[in-house]
Amino acid sequence: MHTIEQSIRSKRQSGSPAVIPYLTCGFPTREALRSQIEQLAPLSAVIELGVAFSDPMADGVTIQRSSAVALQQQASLDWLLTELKGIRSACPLAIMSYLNPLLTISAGTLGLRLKDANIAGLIIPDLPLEESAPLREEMASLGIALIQMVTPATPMERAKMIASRSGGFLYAVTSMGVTGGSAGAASSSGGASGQSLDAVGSYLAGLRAISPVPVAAGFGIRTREQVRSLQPHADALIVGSALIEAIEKGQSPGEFIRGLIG
Amino acid sequence: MTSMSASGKSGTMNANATSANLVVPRELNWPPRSEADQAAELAKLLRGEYPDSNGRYGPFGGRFVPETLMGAVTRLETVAREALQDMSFLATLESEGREWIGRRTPMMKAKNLSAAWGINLWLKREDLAHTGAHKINNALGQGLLAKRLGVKRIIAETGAGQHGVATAAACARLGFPCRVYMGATDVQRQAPNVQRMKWLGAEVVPVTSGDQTLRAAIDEALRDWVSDPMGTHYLLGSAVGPHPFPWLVRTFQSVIGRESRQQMLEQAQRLPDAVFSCVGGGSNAIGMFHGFLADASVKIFGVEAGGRGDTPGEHSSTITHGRPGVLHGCYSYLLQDQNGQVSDSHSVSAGLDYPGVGPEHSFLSDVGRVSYVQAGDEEALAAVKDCCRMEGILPALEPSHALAAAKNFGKANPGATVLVNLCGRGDKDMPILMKVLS
Repeated sequence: MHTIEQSIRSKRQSGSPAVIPYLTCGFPTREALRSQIEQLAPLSAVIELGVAFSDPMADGVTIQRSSAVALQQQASLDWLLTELKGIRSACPLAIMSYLNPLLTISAGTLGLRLKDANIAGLIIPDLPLEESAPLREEMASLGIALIQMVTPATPMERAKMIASRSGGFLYAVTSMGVTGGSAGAASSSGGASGQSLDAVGSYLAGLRAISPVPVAAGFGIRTREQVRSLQPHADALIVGSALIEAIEKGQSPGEFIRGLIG
Repeated sequence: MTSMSASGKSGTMNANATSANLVVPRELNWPPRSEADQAAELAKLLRGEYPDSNGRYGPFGGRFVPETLMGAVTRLETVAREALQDMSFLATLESEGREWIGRRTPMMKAKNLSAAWGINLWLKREDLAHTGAHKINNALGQGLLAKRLGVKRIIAETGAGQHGVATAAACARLGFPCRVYMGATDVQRQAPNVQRMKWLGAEVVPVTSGDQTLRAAIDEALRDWVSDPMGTHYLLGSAVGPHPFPWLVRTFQSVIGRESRQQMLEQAQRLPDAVFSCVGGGSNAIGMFHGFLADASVKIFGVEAGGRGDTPGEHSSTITHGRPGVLHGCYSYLLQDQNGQVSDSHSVSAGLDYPGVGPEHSFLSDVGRVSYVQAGDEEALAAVKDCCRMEGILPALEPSHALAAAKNFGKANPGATVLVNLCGRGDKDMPILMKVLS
């Protein structure tokens, strides 16, 4: 069993919600990264480390904002991978990056650099299954999971194929649209079609029935109530924009996540 | 001001050339090194083998989109391939093209510019197409496809506003609600087109994120599309984006090249020595070039915006200065920094102010069939003046870059027969022309 999968399953068995917080690395400053990871790791099944990109087309306004700040702070994939060599995390780390920053590291070297930085998984929002074979093979040989996404628009047959090739966990996008909407409630941002909680629950149940790896729900999870009601339906819950907004307000990441799962 | 390099980039091996990476298989052995290998790749394109089943032109193209959009882009390709085999669809495209757009557009000998520049200059008058630019060819084609897709609404991006106006017009004609995303900077510099879109019934959304130009408008249109991929058609106007868009845009714009080749034979009794089109994303260029790719005697030039100079951020010369990367769903040359962040671009022309380029142009550069050269802001503005005063035509700033490059070509090739695609008229540029020319 992959270390990410193991971490999610053991969190679940201990009875506490398995959360996967997302950070835009370099937001609000590059220096904040170490403390953010140290605070979040004991509370988390996995931490998603976001690499800022100039054109985040799958992200809503919150992550667009944090990405712009991180870029102003000179955050880059190269900086992040160097920085991580000196940081010990109590939970597995996954990189979330759009494809283009990853292409700056030559093929054959990327995997080794990820390995050196203790990265256990990779999420690439603009790399669909059809384009992912070469990368998956390279990562598999190093034990790094390539985590694939499914959405409510993905037909079940296709979801099955994606789940069978996803490493670590299956990233289940719970609402159509960009990040930062609201799952299980009428959406208020970006024109995203809000799914009812029942619809999200049965969508997740369908995925868990076919997925050999844990199913993590993401996009629009922001309140303690949502965590309570979604927890039975998913193996893990991904919290992104809401955490970034908390950091923007000056809250510490650890405090925010404790409030969400406590 | 940027001067035009003598030979352009094609055929030269430089440090930016593609090599194997996460999305380019090593077996592909790209770019082709020898002339024979280049010719073999071009032959594949001419035989219709590119785009291949993965939407690639050699290594370029592909579908680098979120999973949310995979269903929509796959359905679009299926529906488009069916439609293009369907006689009734093609008949509607043809009759609407004739009666509503005004095809075929004229070919004109530019007598006075010819005399002044020492060449035989022919202009393909796409500026005379309905709504004033070539963009309408694709807007009509994809609008008709949207009917077959059964979507409820259409969205589009626009830079100069020409594609926005064309899409708004097509939506009015076909009965679709239409929303156009336009960078806030472009809303300012192309104000007349913003009003036209509104009159045609479209909602214009100024985009204040990112660089506030065409690139940010595409980002925002994609964000809209992911919220309702099956109920909305994203009517992309440039030859960029995930497959099948670059192919689809080329298919609907190829009418330019087909007509031009025939008109050159009819009116000049010969093929041109050289063909020039401006290249931002590259939609008018790819349509024009496809008429002449198989004619080995015809030199083909894509003209990128040289802006104010070669410093990053001062130009939009993607193929000249970029290296391959992924933006807006396709793998192609891209202006970017060493960390893979997309660079800001500049051009006096909003339609060329874009850091990416269509994947087929990247392919045509790497196989050496098309030379990509530059014309700067000042050269383009001078060409606007010349064309106004000598031919009585106010050209858009975009094709004025092609005119400027044709003029430069004439210096080294006096007497040459040169075809320029005058892809749009310049009325929409009045605000910026009044600012920079007076």
